[in-house]
Amino acid sequence: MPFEVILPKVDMDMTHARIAQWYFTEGQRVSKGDVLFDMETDKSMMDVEAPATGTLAHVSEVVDAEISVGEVVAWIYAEGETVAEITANPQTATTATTATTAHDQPVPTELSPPVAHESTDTAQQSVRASPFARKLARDNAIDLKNVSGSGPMGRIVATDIIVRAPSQQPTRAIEALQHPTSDASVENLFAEDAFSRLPHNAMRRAIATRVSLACSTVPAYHLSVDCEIDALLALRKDLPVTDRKKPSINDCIVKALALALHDNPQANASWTDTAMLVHKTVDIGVAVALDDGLITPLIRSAQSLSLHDISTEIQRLADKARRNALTPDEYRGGTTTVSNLGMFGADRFTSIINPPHSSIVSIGAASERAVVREGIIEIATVLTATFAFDHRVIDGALGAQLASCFRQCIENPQALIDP
Amino acid sequence: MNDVSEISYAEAIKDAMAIALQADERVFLMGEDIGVYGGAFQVTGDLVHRFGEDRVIDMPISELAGAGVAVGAAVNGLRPILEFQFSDFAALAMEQIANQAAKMRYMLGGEVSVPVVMRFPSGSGTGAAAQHSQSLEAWFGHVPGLKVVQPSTPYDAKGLLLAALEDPDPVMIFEHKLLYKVKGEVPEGHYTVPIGKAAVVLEGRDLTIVASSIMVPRALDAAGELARQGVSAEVIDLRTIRPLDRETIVKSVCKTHRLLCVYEGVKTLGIGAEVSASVVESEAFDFLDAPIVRLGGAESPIPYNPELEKAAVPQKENIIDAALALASGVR
Repeated sequence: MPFEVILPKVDMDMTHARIAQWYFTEGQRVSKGDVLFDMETDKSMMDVEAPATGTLAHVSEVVDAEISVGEVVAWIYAEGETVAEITANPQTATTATTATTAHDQPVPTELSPPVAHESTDTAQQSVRASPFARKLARDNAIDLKNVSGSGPMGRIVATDIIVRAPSQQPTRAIEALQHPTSDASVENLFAEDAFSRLPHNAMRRAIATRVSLACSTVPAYHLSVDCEIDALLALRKDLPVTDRKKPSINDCIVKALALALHDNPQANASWTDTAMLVHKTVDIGVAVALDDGLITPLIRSAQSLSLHDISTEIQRLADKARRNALTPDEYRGGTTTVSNLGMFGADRFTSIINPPHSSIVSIGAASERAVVREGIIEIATVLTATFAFDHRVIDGALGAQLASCFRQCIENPQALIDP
Repeated sequence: MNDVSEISYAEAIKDAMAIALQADERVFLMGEDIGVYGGAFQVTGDLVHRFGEDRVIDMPISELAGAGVAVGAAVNGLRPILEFQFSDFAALAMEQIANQAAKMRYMLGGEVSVPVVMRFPSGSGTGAAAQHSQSLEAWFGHVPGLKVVQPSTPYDAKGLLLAALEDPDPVMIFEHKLLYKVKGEVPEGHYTVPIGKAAVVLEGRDLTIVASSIMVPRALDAAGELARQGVSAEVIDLRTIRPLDRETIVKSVCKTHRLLCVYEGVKTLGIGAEVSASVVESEAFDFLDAPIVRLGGAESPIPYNPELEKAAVPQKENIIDAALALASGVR
């Protein structure tokens, strides 16, 4: 049997990826384990290896476009195999019947059966689909040959079946069962040509799922502290010039949060139904905005890193995030997050906690503000940090204590650079 | 309404036997070391002191002879409850169970019935190795004429035993050794749990986990973790494996579209095979959106080494992994 090369699923919520580059071309010999192509997911870039040894054929020409997980992107033929043996993904198989093998050993033509007609039929009959998907297709008079499958090995599953609801708006059949009018009910509020429809990518869906889950399950409350940063600005200015980049205010904020959580270990915890997980290290997520979403890589064990180390690590992770090259180890878990929208001019804002974190700190823009000291109005540079806490983990007094500790670190910044 | 108290699975079984001994003079207990010693797992406890040696009988070390006496007594109008020390020893009594008890009502045209109850401590997890740790319920489930139950809670253990005593046919009760000390709420006095009825013990949306015996609490633990990861599992406790409550399983799979069968017995030709086949033979076939997954015991005798012993039967983590793969479309 020829071997299918499929677009593998490497992460739980991955549904699509792009092939950035092929390392082999049609007809070349590949050995099991050779890197066949680079796959770019919404989180990272990785090598995909050949699952078998043989001759590469029917290489998908789709490069830099979204491909569904499980879709067949090429075939590997063993010695002497011919095209007639393909039975699987309908689209690939149909293409395959019109293609010829690029095998270096000539196929004995007299012995080959007239395959084209027969194998097309086989290919159509052998659409890979779950029984439930078949039932939905049958009930809605949909031809499965026109449906692409997102399941393993290209299997069509229920969520792949798009039906036309009575309103003539396309809806996924399974959603139509669960939420009878979800997409259509929104689209019907607008004129047909009044919007363009941008289908969600995997990252958008992941963000939507995470924030919806957080909003519906985490009982959060918020509190703000105004932090004067003139001392911090002065200290930063006075840092000796070295070959390393000067730490930014944001780096200082991450360091201050690490110290505050280290001093209030009960707040460095995650909720589970049966126990509180009190973490031994402070792993701080730093939200990095991307063109089409965001990701929060983690500064691991931030409590034991120097300001300079934190600065270097944030730089490294942010660069990697923008190249979609983060590995799961670099964003999974964590105990809190820093979200800084100061550079966009937001004075103060609140963020949604990202479970299993029990807190998130929103940093607003620093600005000169009037402060009153012993009856005298003075000017100080102030930024507002707004904490969101999971009340199941962190009660009000503890939250206020943590916020106050954070402010003291920011306002007495020598602690940030002391070893 | 009866008062409810928190007692162990073993105490619930003893309570059921005490109620039956008190209420019905035809009822008696037989087994090895069930008298003064109180039973290999201390289930009969002090019953010999309360009901006397005529009703709580220590029998010689011959499972075949004991089973023969029990079957004969049942045919002649008594209500014996026969305890095996380990379900593994049922192999010695299989002639009486499979060829006599199970067949008599059929072969004698319904002239007699065999209302015998047999109790089998079963399952692994106690370090008792290959000959004292098996889960053999599927052997018995294969024999028409027998009824086979697997209680997973103290409540069901008592209710199913009292139901078994009212049943005209031989009822085989497989009690899990690791459950004996597990406590749960049990009403005082007499009540029954119907034989042949499964229970939906947790309602869910994304997949159905069909389990029995100790796999029920494991599946419920797993379901809690799955819920935290956004997967809503429905858990069905089979309670009886023969006759199997296909209706409850089919109804659930039609709703969730995915099925995971979890059982401690050896995977091949086990309960999960029957549950799985029942679903694909039914109207639920058209509602399946993924292949059915079976999680059963390893294809080997239960090892003595405690780590290998654990690895040989499904644990909570295995259930979580299998359910996540199934619900997320990896399978």
